[in-house]
Amino acid sequence: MIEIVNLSKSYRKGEVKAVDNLNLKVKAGEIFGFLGPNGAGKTTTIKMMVGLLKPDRGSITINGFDISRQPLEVKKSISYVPESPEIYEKLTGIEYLNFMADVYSVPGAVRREKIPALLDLFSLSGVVGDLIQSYSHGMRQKLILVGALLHEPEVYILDEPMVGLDPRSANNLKNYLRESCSRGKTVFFSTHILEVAERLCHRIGIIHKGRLIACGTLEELRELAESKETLENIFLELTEK
Amino acid sequence: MKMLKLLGLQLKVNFGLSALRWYLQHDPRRFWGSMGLALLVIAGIAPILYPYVQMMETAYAISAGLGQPGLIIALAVVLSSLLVLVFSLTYVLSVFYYSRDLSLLLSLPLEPRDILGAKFFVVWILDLLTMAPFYLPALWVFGVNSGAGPLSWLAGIFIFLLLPVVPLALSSIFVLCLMSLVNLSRKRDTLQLMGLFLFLAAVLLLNTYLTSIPAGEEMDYLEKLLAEEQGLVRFTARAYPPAFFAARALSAGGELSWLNFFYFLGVSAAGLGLLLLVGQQIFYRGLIGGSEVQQGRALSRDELAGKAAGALPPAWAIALREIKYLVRTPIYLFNSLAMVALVPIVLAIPLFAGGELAPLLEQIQAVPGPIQALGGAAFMGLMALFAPAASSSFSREGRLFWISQVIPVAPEQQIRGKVLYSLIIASLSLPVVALAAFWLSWTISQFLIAVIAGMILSLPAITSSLLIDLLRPYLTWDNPQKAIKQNVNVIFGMVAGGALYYLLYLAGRQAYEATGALLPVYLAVLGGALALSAICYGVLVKIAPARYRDIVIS
Repeated sequence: MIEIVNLSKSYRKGEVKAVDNLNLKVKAGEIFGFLGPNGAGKTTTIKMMVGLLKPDRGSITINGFDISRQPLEVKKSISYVPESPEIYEKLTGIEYLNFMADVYSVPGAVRREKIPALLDLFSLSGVVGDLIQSYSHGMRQKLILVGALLHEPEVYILDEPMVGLDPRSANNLKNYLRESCSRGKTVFFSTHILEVAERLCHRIGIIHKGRLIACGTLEELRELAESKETLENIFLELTEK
Repeated sequence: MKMLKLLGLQLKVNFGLSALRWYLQHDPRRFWGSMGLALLVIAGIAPILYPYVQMMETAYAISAGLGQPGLIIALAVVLSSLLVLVFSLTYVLSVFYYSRDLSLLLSLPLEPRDILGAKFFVVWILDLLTMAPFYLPALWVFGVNSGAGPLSWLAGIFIFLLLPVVPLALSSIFVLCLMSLVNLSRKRDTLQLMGLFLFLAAVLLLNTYLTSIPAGEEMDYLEKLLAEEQGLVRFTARAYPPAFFAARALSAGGELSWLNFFYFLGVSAAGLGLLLLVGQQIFYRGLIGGSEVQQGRALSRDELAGKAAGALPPAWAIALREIKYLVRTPIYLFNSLAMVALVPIVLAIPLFAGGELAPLLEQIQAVPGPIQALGGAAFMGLMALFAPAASSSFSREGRLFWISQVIPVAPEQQIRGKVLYSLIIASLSLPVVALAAFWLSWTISQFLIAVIAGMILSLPAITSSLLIDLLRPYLTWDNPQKAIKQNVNVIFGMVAGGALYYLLYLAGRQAYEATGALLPVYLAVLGGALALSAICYGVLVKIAPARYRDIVIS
């Protein structure tokens, strides 16, 4: 479902390698956690996957479409949630959702059904008529999530989706993603919350200084590290090198 | 002391000094690109300044002949001060109340006057850039022709540096009062906008009142002004008295020059002092809690279903998003509408006040109807050129441009949405055309021709401005005013659009000279407008996919 081949991106004329020859495959129905220390290249990779950054080298194929050659087809297949919830402050919540539904061509009947259900899921029903500028950080994050889940994409690409969410909303999101994957959808998300990755992901990739240093199920990662107890220990050991 | 430290920081942030230094060391191409762009702006403005300098030369020759050589200084000071008074309103509002750093600054142990003073200085420098094209040519003409000595030149420069203080302090005090009144209101944005337009109207009316000449006594009045010592200078400076001090400081000579120079200095210091005094009392009152928006009533299930029902084509969804954002951001709305509102008011006030409307209407009515309609259309085209709606369309998206980049809507469709939105903004000049149609007793078909031709004539300005903004959008602004006022694309858009309109004028004139008929004029002007728009639109659509892919918000 997601295939990344020899992906590289550098800055300052090659001095800083943000992503260095990354190769990765994520299957349909899989939840893939993308971990790494700050500045490791997680967000750069995600931005290249959704078309916000142009790779220097390599290819990204999502749902059978190449992001460089078929960007619109890729965008129709995915939902993207950025790491910081910057959205249109001068729109109301419902106006933002209608805008997202319009651009993803969600029919009126579907949005009448899905919008109230998703708003309930994230406890936003009471504020959806208000301007987004009155929302807290967490509420904005939840609204972006609702906008991203509206059109039922094949692939969810989420950059730190749990940041700012209250425990109930975070739990609801995890359940929603699990349920989506059981219907064959694919989730690719970055996180710093190792516990979430440990419990939610089918497979985990660890990126460090732009290179994928480990990738596999939790059991497979344990084989790579000396300390095999928790993902936190494995992560710390692998990223120390 | 804290104010000075904060000022240093504000200068680095607002003028990108740290970023420029970094680029010079690490990315020289980008540094020299920025420098080249600045030179390009100056080069773009220079041709417009040439006729202004010529006009000043003529004015100097006449006023020096009348023994009042300081007149051009007074004129330049009044003109640039009025501009600052009116156009710095949104600068001030934006920098004082909508800068992203305010939430941080408010939590620091700083006095209100420290923050206010530092931010005032930033606007002061920006306004120097606004005033320079009006004042410096006048100073040059005056200095060269009067054989000014080094001290006079120095005084002239010093006056220039202080020029923005008083008008800026006045508009700042107005904004401080306005915001302290409307800050916690639910209708804060609407009240802000009304306040800005009321201030604009008050300034224009006061200016008209102060500079009006009693009807029927024009000749006597003029004779009196010529006979009186410095009569013309005094009359010009009635709209803005410090202009008299500036003019006399440069032209009187001897002790009188010094005296007027110190008067000017005193008035500027008083303006600044008053602002800091008022600001210390009420700045925080207008700021704290301002970003909070009271939550409204929750939507019922039925209301939510109703609001979620509509499905729009993507281009319309984009246009609607742009319109909602413009309407709900007072700074954008004021900047986009000020010109449309201002131009007819500026033109109409003297006509009404001076009783010159009737003869002018008669003169226009003597012109053939189709030419009148073309005039109405040209007005709409010019308003589209002056409104920064299209030339800042991509820039205004700022850091939210990522949304446009990731949504599955082809860049061509998004651009169609932006053209649609820009046409809707251009159509806001329709009421003025309707008013002209009423005064000039146009037929319905004349009015319709003017409107349709006006929309067609708006297209070259819209498409060329969108093209310029897409080539190099300014997305990293930290307060919304910068997206329009500190965006060189707006200037480039006006210059490029102006050049296209000049071409259309030449085409129309050629057609008339060749045939002597009006239909070929219409065909040449409107056909030319459509052709130029099609070229700009074609280039836009051609480059858009790459631009949407390659633009990185850093």
